[in-house]
Amino acid sequence: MTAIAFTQILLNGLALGAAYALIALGFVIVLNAAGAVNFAQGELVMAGGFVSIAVAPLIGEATALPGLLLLPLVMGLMGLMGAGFAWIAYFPVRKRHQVAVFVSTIAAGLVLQHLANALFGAAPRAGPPLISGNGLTVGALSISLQQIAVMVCAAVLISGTGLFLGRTQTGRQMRAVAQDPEMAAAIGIRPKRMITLSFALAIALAGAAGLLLSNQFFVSPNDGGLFMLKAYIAVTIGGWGRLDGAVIGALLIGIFETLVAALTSYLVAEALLYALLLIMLVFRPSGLLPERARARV
Amino acid sequence: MAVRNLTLHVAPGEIVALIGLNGAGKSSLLRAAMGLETLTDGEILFRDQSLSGTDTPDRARLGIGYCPEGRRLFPGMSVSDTLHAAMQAPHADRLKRIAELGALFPLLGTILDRESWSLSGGQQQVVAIARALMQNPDILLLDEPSLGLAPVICQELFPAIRRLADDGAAVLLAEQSTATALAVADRVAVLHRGTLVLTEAVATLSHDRLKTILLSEGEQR
Repeated sequence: MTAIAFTQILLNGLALGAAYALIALGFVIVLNAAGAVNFAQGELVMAGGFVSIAVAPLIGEATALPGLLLLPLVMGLMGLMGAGFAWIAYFPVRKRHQVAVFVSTIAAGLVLQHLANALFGAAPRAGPPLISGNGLTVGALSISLQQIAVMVCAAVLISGTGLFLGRTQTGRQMRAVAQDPEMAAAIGIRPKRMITLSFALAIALAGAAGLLLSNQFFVSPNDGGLFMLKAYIAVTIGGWGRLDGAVIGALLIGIFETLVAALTSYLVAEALLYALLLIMLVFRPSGLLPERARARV
Repeated sequence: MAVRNLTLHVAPGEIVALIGLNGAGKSSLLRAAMGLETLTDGEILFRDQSLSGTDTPDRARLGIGYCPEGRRLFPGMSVSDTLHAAMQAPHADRLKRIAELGALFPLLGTILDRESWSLSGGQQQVVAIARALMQNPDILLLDEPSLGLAPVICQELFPAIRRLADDGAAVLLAEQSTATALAVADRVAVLHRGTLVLTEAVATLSHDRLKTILLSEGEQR
């Protein structure tokens, strides 16, 4: 493989990994806020893809508005869906056994899957592009405008999420609730409100990922499981519960998948990725960036 | 531990030391006052108003500060973020309040950027009390602040708690370390198996009587 081919694959992998990072970020935000895995995260990415397809005509060619405006629109709609998701699939069962939350999110995911099937059909559909054009060519390297837009949007959303959670008062309060909801309530924070916001943010990010992935990779109602697995692997590789770990894990997955698929085939790349997951679980279960100690006296 | 037949009043500027053996009901009482335990009977009043129907966040916003046993800081958050999160006010007011608390606990200013999990026990306790004080509460509920701390740290911490009361705050101080509590308290309340068995001003308290009560508690166990 030449250096140029390698760089090309690296760019493609980064674009894919950037979209995966949004899925993994949402996965970790809900994991931290609710203390439970949202098994519907993948279906919510798929839903984001279909919501993009549904709303694209509203601001696309008909109104001559740029496709980039789709992103805030889709994220807003998915954020509302996220808040509803928290109140339907999480709050009613959160005080029961943890398995109840798992089952509830799985059920909600299946509802979304069947709903997408009924509304859009089972065949893969292409999502709207964020931006149209031929792309950039530097020497033998070429990158499409869509890929650039995916990387830029993902970078903006990832850093924006980091700044929001790290620097704003609402973000601090969301983190406090994620770490100890009872203690957060005892200092005047409303845990339910913060958990609802966490779901809204996480699912808005899932929606963004759905939009970013659906143009290049298409979207079909059965894609949820695959997205969910990617998020799970990213978080396991990066470090359970760590936002930065999730992003690093997702970027590594994107690059790994693209590189191995280019050298062998997509199926081999997938198989090796799951093998990598098993190796991580056995030899470094805490991931590349282990979660910080819970307490120290 | 269920707490029964208990009437206890804490006045502004007063420190009431709540003492008793492990399991006497001290923590349960403080948690109930904060709304973290549900009352099956009875009532908790704050500024002569019943707190029934007032949830925990609203109790904190009304002016009840709570520092739990074991500190329970947010391990992945910096001290600065922890303090900011604990006050519902504009940014400038939060900074002003952190500066005021820095004057009360000089150590605070040196650890603002540290993450809570990396702090020593004494540092954690200072942050936990400062967090409870961010909203400038009228009453501070302190649960075992001396637990696990070196005596030298307690010697710095408890005078600061006294200064808080001298500035007008009511303090309900649950402590196992009787001597430490009595050194700063105005009144003492002894709990035994969820029942109040003694309340008396520290100034008039017979230490022999207190010792007898505490020893008899131990023997009954």
